[in-house]
Amino acid sequence: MRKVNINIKVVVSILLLTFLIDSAFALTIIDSAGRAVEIEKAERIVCLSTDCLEAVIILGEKERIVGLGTNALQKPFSPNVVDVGKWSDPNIEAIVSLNPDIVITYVQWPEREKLEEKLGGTGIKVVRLDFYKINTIFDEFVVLGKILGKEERAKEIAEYWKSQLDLIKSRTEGLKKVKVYWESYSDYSAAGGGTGWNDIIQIAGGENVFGNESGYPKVDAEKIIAKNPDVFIKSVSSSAFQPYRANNSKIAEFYEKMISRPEINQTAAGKNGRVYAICMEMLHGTFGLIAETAYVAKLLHPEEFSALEPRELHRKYIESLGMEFSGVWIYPELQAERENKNEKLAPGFEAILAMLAVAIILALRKEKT
Amino acid sequence: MIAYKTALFKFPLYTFIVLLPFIIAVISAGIGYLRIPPEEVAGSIFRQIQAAFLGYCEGMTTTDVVIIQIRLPRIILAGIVGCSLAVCGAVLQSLFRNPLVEPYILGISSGAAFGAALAIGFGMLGGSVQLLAFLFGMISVFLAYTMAKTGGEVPVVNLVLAGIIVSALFTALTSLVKFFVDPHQLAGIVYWIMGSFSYASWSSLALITPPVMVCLLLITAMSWRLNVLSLSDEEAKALGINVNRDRFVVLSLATLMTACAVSVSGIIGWVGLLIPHIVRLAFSSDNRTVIPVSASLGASFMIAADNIARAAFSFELPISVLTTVLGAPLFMILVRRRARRVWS
Repeated sequence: MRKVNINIKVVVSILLLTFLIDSAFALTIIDSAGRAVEIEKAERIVCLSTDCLEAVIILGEKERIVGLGTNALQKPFSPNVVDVGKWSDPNIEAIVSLNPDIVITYVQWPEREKLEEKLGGTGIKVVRLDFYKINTIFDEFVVLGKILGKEERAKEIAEYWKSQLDLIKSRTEGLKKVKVYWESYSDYSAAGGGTGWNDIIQIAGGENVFGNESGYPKVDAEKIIAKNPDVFIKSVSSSAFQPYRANNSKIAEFYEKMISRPEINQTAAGKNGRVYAICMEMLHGTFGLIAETAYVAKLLHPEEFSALEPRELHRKYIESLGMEFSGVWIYPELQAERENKNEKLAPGFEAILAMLAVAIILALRKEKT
Repeated sequence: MIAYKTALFKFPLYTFIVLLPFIIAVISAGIGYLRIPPEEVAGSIFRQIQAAFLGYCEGMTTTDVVIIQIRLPRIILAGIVGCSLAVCGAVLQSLFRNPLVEPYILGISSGAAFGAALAIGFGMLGGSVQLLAFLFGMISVFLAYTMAKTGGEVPVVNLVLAGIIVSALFTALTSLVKFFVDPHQLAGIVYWIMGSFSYASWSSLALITPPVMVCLLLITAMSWRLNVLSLSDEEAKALGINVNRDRFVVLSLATLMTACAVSVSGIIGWVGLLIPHIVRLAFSSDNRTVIPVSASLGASFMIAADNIARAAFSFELPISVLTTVLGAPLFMILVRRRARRVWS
């Protein structure tokens, strides 16, 4: 009887042990596309997006990355690994040849047919996490922590950034909304509802004047005057200006050219010197979004946020990517005042009038002959 | 010249057509997203003309800025672009002896799109979209022309084929640029290709108006030669015309005009096809009538279409879509009416 008892105990404990070992290695997570993904190990990772690359680096697991999307590979903080093609249209053969355990990409891109269906049968798991939306990034970061076996560290980092964001939110909630016109990279292309910049405006205590249009509606000078924003924010792309380790001469040039646009001085923003250019390179991504929100909150409500130091948040973000914090991201520097000047009529007008006059005279003269 | 003048000024109708773009432009100055009463519009224009001639200038009010710096340049630009495209369409249709030819037949739009994509996507030449679009537009036509040239002759069929080849090449290159740039820049390129006048300013007008006006005058002066060029090469030669030289000159003028138009407004379809056709169906196919009337109607049509693009909604409609949506039914009615007349 006793012998049997021992045998049962041994069997049960072996079973339990195998079960435990099994569950320790086969982790099931829910990704942002709402799918349960079973992950056995995550030693070799391919990241298709820059945002995912940033998240992995912030967690201190850069060494596990074996392949990157082309755009991500061009970042100054990216490791020197294999190029697996465009983030929205990756090279499946390149991915397979790297023999990764998981591929991390955006929720929407590339489409399932381009990725999951082609990787079916290879055992490579696809995890879809965005890391660029301010409302979902914290949970996604914790999921990434689970995948990489660093859940505690991930929670700690996510908590820190979330608390910073909550601090801003709690202060802007009661404030009067400031009207903001936020322009995307190309001129007269507004950031409308549903965009990341619209989320930032709302959290920072602003009201997007083109928030009712979705996506990036094309507008024109007259519409901007009609909306009369209190603050004008222009997103600067990396092809126009690279902020990292730059001085402000080139961004000043960009800014001068921008504020010569006729509508700017006719809005409250232009009259009160509240026109800003914000460079998105190494700011508009993962936890940089919180630094960006802090900058914007300070632009919109300088008095309420006089003690807030967005640059410190930004420094923390850039240092967490393993880079040195140096460069110009916002122009003009916060709190700087700009004089309101009246633009004189462009000289082209006189020239055209004169030409019209000449044309009329010529026509009349010909008529006589 | 006498005959041309009588054709143009004989009837009140022609005088009205010549004045039409100016009338539409004045009315359009009062149309916009901001509601400004007509008397204020007139006042603002009057004050600015006064200021321009007498050097008397007080600070500009918001109304002045909207009228003078935003609406007027845009209206005038739309007019000039509409006029250029319509005239180029008319010129090329008779040069190629084919009613389906449009100003972009020699690949100018694909070339310009590629230039613009380079500027928007990669910030080449300081991101100067206008300059790069203009340059590549001209390059594409130059390529097509050189490709078509065989032993001192430039046969029309060769030109059309070369145009197709150049178009295909630059379209592929544009796709390549679009593939590599990030999504926001991509949106910029797509917007540019759809065409828009929202970048209009007096400085862009000052850049394109002189060349376009010079080309327009020269083409009008050469319109009788165009009539001859639309005959077969042998007939034209028999009439004492240097076919190759004249074709080269007219083609260069038309290209320069189109490149100017495209560089400031993007690619706007249909106007170059639609307007000359309407003119030919409604008036005559004599180029001495077709060219000036196309210029006038092209300008009027474009200004009117752009009024809808800029004023109808709180966002901007792509002008190319509007010209097509407005133009297609109009065109269809005309073609059907003529068909009935011809067939019954």
